[in-house]
Amino acid sequence: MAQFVLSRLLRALLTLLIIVTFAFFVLRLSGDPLNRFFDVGNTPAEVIEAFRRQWGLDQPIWIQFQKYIVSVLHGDLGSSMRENRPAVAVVLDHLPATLAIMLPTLVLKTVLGVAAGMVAALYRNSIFDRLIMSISVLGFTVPTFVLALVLALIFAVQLRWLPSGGYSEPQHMILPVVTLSIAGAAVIARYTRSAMVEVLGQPFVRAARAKGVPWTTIVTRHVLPNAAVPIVTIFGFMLGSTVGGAVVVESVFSWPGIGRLLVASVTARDLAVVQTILLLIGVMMVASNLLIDLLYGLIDPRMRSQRATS
Amino acid sequence: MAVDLPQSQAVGGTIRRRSSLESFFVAWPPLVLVALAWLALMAIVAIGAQWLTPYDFMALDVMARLKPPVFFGGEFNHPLGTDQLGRDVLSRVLISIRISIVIAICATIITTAIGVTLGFVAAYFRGWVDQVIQMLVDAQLAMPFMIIAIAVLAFFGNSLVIFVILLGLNGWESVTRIARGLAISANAQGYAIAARDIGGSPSRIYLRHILPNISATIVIAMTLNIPGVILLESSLSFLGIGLQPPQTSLGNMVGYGRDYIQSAPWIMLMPSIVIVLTTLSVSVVGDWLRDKLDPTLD
Amino acid sequence: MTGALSVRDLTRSFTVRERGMLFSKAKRLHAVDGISFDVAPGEMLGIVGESGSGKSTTARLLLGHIPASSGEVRFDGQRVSARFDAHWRQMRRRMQMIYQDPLGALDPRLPVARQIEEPLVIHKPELTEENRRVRIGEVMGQVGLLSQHGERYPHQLSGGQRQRVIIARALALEPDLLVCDEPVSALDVSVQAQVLNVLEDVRARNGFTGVFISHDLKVVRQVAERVAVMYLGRIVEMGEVGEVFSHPAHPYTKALVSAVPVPRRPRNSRIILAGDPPSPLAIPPGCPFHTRCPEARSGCRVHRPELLGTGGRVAACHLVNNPSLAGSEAA
Repeated sequence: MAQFVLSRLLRALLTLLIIVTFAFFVLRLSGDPLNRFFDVGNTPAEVIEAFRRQWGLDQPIWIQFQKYIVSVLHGDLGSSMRENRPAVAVVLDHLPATLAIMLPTLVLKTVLGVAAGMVAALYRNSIFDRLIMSISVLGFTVPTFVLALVLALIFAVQLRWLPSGGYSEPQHMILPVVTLSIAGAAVIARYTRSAMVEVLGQPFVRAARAKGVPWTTIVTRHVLPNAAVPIVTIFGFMLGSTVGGAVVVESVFSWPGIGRLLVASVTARDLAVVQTILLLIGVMMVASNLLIDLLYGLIDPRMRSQRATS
Repeated sequence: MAVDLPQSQAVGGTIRRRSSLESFFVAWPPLVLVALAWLALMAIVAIGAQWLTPYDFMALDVMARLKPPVFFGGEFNHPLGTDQLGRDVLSRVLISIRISIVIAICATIITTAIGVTLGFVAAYFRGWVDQVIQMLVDAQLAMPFMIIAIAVLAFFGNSLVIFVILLGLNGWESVTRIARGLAISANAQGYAIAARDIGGSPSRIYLRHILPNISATIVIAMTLNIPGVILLESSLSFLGIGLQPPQTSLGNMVGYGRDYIQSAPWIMLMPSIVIVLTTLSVSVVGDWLRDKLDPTLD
Repeated sequence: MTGALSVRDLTRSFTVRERGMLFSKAKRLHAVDGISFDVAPGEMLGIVGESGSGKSTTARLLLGHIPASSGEVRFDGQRVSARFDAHWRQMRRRMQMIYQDPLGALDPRLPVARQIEEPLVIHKPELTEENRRVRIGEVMGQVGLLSQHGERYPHQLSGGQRQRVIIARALALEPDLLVCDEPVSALDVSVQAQVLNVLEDVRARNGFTGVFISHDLKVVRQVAERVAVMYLGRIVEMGEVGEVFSHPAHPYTKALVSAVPVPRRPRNSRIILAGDPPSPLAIPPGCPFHTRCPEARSGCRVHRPELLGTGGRVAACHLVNNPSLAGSEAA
């Protein structure tokens, strides 16, 4: 068991290292940073040299990389040009808003998706199944921004039931969360259905029915736990696309989270903030994937028996 | 013409010979036919857009701003309406289709080239090279590509070349995984070993023997990758960090149409419908191809 | 130009660990356990044995398709290695293999003529397309394929035709060493005869050095001049094929020979071996055959017999070479 946890942890750290390295190289490759501060052609050489030395840009790339890692670990990721504060502070200010819509989204889309998938699987080839599967296809072929705009059009503009933007009241949350949930629920529904169909087709299910075990018991005690494994797997992937979707949704509904901050920073070329968000999301994703991996190890019955014998 | 066996001869059910029309629809499901028809239409538009547009897509006509499409009370000279600057929506949609499709195809070609190359390299060298490539695949899977794309566009600026290359990096990891798996199993096949035994160099074995034999699956992977690219490109353009004006793309149009969602919703609806129909069609065709040719593909 | 093949103390073994347990003892599996023999230029050596005797592994070792754990193989004085570098690829010009499964060894997407042509394309780039076409026609004629077969795909040919394609491809460059790994085992008996005739014709005409591996003694008798009998990775008897099969010295060879039905020989003269062959992971001490040998003595359990004999006729059995070692009582 300890071996399993350690190996997953190591993998997570390596992935994190790759992400940080990527951020560093994008930073360096994207042009001599000096160009951002003054017109290099017109400034005397000594000024440029002094500047280089002050910012450590005259040192070999390996040293620069080390310094970068140290500063990342210290949380020093530069200053936001727009707000003249440490970039980390700016980003952390906007984080709660994003979490406020992400967490309900994760819950809602899982519940919705798993429920829809289960219904579709249990009533295979019925009208429900076809309906659910058809709608779910739309869930991942319709781009998030289209879905967001269409929902806004219907519910905010035409029906005027919900506000189309803002951050002050709880109902401002509804459209962003619903938009994100629908797309995620669609994919989860499809995977749940195929996982359950596969388990339902296994001989042991038929054997249990033949023995007279009540259907609900079969489903809850035998089918669901076995189907849970592939569903947990897809959850990890869904996390990434939800974050991507959040960027769009926050922009459409003027929700002041890190997604909207990211887009605004790109347009304003506030690179310190962009870099910070990139690293923050990297850390969040690696951490949550690690958690899911460990969860996987707990629920997968095959791995459980391996732990018991070692 | 259906032929029914008399009930007395059938056991448990009747056996019927399918009419030829029925057989046709079994081999080519109606949904797939519709999807293929739409894609054919898109292809025609992509190739001939500049001859099909009634107006220049940049032509301003301030007197004709915000005219609704034909089915909402507009006139036939602007069948899909006009936007806030009087530009004909139909023309802009046609040009946008061409740009979006060309970009999607170029990007997919790049993705396939990168994915197949890395997959083959991993399969050929095995050992630590394989481990490194697999770690990169894992790292890529951990991060949502949208975020990476936005960050790169922030740092490198927004030229068309960078944009297309970036889109080409979307989904390389799936292609790499597929190519690597296929190459490893192909390597174990007799013909690959035989090709080595007659003295073929590794490049010969991979390019002339293995690649043609796995091409069907690779083509399917490419097809299934296209919707993702279209969605990514339109999302980025919508946010204003993808294609820049005067270039127009479907995502761009939706982005500009957003401000007029109350007064002139067709500006954003028309391109949105095109995006949805196109990605839907490609998905349907891709799934159908996969079911026909290689059901083992994920 | 042909060369001699010489094999010295060739072994191929690997460590096998039991699955799932962290501290299991690693065992060594000796697929080939120290074999030595020579094949004179232009001669064909047959290798026979049960499955698990190591004959297929030997075939691959001879051509350098897999690396040896120890010992060496020399062809025409040059050491055969298993490093797949440019030198190895060049050596393929002279050394080729004929496989057991013809369909598996052919690329399903290429017409067979292209595949027969491929060695020429690789090793003789100076030939024009016309030259190649002539050569392909020649070699297809030698194996008995018609030109229309050339445009067909592997799945459109019969088993015998496919095997002929494999042979044609192997012969395209007129190799000096040809290793045949059960080339006719997958074919019907009537087709077997045709393919064997092809091999014999080609050898009579071109004169390559060959090794022919099979579990079927009749086939080996037809094509080979000398034969080696393998058991659990070792050679237990070797000699001129007619001699070995008509007067087998080693008890294992006797059992193999008696299993071949011969008209007019009474059925009850068949020797049936007791038990199954031991697992290669647990080779019995002393003579590896003693557990099943009807003639085993007490000493056979203890002393491993060497492959000894005179005039190219050797056997690894105490009863043949050194009866005193075997002892007097039955094992």
